[in-house]
Amino acid sequence: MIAKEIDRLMKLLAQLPGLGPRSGKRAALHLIKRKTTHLEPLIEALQTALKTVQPCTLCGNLDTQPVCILCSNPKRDPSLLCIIEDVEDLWAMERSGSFRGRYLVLGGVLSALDGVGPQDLNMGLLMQCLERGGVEEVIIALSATLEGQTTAHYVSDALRTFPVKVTRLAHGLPMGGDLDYLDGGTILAALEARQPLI
Amino acid sequence: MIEWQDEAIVLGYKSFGENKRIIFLLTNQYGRVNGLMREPKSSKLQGLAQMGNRVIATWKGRLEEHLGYLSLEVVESFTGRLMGSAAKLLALSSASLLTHSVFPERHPYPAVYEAFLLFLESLKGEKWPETYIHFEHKVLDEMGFGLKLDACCVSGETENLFYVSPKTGRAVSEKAASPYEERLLRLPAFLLDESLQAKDFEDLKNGFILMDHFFKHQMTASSYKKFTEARGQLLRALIKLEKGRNDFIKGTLLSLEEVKRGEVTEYTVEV
Repeated sequence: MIAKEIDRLMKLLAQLPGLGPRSGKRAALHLIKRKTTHLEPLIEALQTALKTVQPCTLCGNLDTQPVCILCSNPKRDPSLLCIIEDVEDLWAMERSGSFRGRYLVLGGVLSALDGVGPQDLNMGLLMQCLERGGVEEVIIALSATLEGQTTAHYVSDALRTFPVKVTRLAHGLPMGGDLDYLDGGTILAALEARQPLI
Repeated sequence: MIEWQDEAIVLGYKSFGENKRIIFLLTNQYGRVNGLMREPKSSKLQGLAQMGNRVIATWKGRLEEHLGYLSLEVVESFTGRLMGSAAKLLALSSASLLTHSVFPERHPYPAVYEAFLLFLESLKGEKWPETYIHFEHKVLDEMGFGLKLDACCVSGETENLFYVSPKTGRAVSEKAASPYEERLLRLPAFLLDESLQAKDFEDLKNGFILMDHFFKHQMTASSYKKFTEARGQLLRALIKLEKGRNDFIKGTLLSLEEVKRGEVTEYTVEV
């Protein structure tokens, strides 16, 4: 009933994050009906992305150049290095607009259950980055989950031989957080990371 | 619709599709149970399914064999307490992986649940490595391969039990062990008496080696590989704690063979 080319397009679209079989079908029909305004520009954008987007050789960020726009920006502070799990986290950090240093995308976190070991992380890239010199502080910005913190400890251990200050993001009360709703662990973490007011 | 509620410990989770998670639990009455849960949108609920959380779980499903839906309410969260200790985080990870790997679903193991709770409580203090080994011992026992440590398998002696036979898993006294000590596994005293602490790191190491020998033979190869990798990292963290080492340790996994040969005591690893 449905041409196999359309069916293939629907199935491929349905595999995208956030889409299922129904939304895949809707998206396929939408594209087919608007060939010149949507389908052609989309094909062109996909082809360009396929040809040009690559991981940055210095930090693992995604860009069209071998050295990404963040690493090649001379205004960014090279003495600050922020270690993050994935490119999505890098975008989140950039969204805040408060960090002016450089990044390193670790590519995952250690997880015994998922079988992710140290060999699966971008540790080589991190070591190369530190061996090049110029880094004074490494900020470990990994999730406040068991896996994230296990990785944070692993990374901080790995950095012991380098003369750098190693810090991590604070844990505790979220903005707008109500103390009454927080679990004991979060309150404990917040208490331990308390800061003087005066 | 079938529905039940039970206290449980979260063993971990995996993302399922865009906005769901499959949660792995160890419940008190129903044993190991998996279930679907919607990804919490609120930041207040993000930490619900953190490994090691003590929760009240409500499972709902049309049929018993269905995956079913879970809703959780946290009773106590341990992750926040452990954030500062790599060894404790790795121990919790290792214990969760072991429980997840060796037990079938929907079979009650109240003794393992009890032992896991004891282990979690011990993480608040200092005697947790011994309790971790006791937990492994209990898991082995519940798997059906428990060690028989009450008397010497040769002489029937109940004193001076210093060894375990690697074949039978039974205790051997110091006198009966001679001259086969080399072939036997060392039995640390804290395994015979739960109130005792490990004398030294050597004692702890012997506990790890003893349990490892039996897990290696009783677990499936793939489960053992994952478990031994997680446990290797725990051992490495414990060795570092013990020795106060600052050397950079490369991300290769520490095998128990290395520990047995004593190679880890002096190693420095290059990048």
